[in-house]
Amino acid sequence: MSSKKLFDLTAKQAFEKLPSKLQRFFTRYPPAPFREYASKQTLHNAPDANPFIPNKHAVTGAVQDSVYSLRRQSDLYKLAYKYGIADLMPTLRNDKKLFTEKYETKPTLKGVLRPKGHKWERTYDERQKQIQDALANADNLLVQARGSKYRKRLERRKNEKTTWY
Amino acid sequence: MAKAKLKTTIVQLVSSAKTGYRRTLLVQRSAKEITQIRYDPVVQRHVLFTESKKRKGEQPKPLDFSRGAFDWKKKR
Amino acid sequence: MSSLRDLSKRYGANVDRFPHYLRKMFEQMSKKSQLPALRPDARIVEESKRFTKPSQWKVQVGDRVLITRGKLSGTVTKVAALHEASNRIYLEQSETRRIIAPQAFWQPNQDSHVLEYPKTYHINDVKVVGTIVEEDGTERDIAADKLVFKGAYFDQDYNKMMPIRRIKYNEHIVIPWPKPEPVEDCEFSTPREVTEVRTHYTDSIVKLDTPEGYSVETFRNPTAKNWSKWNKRYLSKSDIKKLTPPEMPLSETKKAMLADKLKIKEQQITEMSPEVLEFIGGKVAQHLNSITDPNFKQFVDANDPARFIAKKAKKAEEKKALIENNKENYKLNEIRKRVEQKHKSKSVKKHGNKIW
Repeated sequence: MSSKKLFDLTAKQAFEKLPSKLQRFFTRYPPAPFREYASKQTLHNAPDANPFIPNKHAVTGAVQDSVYSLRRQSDLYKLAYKYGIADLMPTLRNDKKLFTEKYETKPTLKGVLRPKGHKWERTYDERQKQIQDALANADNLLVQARGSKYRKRLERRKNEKTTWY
Repeated sequence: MAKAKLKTTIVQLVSSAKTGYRRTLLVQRSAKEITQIRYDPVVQRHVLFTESKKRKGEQPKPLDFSRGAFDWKKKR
Repeated sequence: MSSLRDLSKRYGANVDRFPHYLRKMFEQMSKKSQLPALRPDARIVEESKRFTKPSQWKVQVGDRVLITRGKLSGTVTKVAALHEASNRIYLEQSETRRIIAPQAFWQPNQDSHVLEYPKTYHINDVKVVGTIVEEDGTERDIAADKLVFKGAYFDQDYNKMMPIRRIKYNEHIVIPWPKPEPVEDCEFSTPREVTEVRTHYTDSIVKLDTPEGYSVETFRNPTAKNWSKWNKRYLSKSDIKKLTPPEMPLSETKKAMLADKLKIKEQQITEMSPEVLEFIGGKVAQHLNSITDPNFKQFVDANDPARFIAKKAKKAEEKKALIENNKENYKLNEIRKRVEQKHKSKSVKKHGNKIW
């Protein structure tokens, strides 16, 4: 049990330790208490325009690519997660969640939750029932096909059936 | 030239116990509808097997009201 | 009417390049394509075989001649012209052929299409006529059967060296060349006296008398139309104007877009404020101060930006130090190279220093 601290940093020192990617990002897009970011699409020049979401141009109405691509967004988030400041990131595009949050919020696959099963599995009971019903009627059919004599033969067979005991 | 019709045909018999067990036979074209009582291993007993497809079978002879008239001519 | 052979240089194939056995075919083709009036009287001879010298022609224009063949045999006429293309001569009195001349070729007093055009005669069908002065002073015309050209003299009228035309087996009898019509001077002709004045005297065969600064390049007019337009030596104002691309004109929407982009750029935050730094740094510090994994520490240290900055600075410093320390050496190396180059032999300079 090592009680010895690996780092003993002040706030400024800790910030300087962040990789330049994150430093630059937080310079340009300060986190939550200082500035809010919309989780949905807004106008590109809105004060709460999210750099991770493709926003609409105020005049043309055309949807512009997000400032950070999907790859770069994930990159920044994962890096921030490593340094423990993932909460300070704005919402990712398509409400993307990573790590435990994803595990908890993302719904499981339909096929995993409720497997459909094979056709033969689905029809199994029905088919078994059909066989049982047919079996019940089997003797009658035999008699119909071969006549009363067959019936008598069957009865004789039943009576003369030998057992082991 | 078209394929000549054989005397025999392949017939498939289905188990009446609805198990899907089938057996095939080679019979004459002119035979009547065939039913057999054979062993079905799925239900482990003998059951009735009936033909799966309808076929022409025996054609009924057309009725002849001539009472044998001019039979002597036919032979030639 | 120039022959088709001469025109073929411009309009058609060079007939002389084809094999000799096709020549007749081409002749026939060319004959057929011509108007009957313009068809040559006799076969056209290839250029190399045409007569050029007076000794070949045996006659000149104005020569008196006796016709020995044809309808007019026995008549003494003058040579009217020499037809170079066929090596034949036109005579003043000659057999004619009737041609249908197109109106373009009509003579001034002509009023009918039908024209009697003279036929050419071969030199062998004709005998040169000369006069003999006998002892008692009477002059007698004689026709030379065969001619011989021995000796030459400078003929003032022809302005060239002419052979002396003698009758064979009687070489003392000379038939002089006829006097040609004198060439009249026009405005543009240089007078004889002027041409005979010598103006150029070379003083040395060793030294060239071209003036200084005279080079092949000065022959060409640098502002000439045919100077390569991609390699002009002097660009005029219009050239510069044409060669400089114009500035892209921006539409109103584009200007607005650029203004919009600029506005957004200006609004971007470039400096980290201390509150934000404190806030974020606090969280990071809280996280990092609580970690226990030494591998993670290694990761953090590896991605520390200060490390990269330090590395870059260090490299720049090292380079600077290297240059500073070796400045003297670099200078000495330069001097050494210069000296070595100076004393290198030509072959070493060309092929390199070969060490066998």
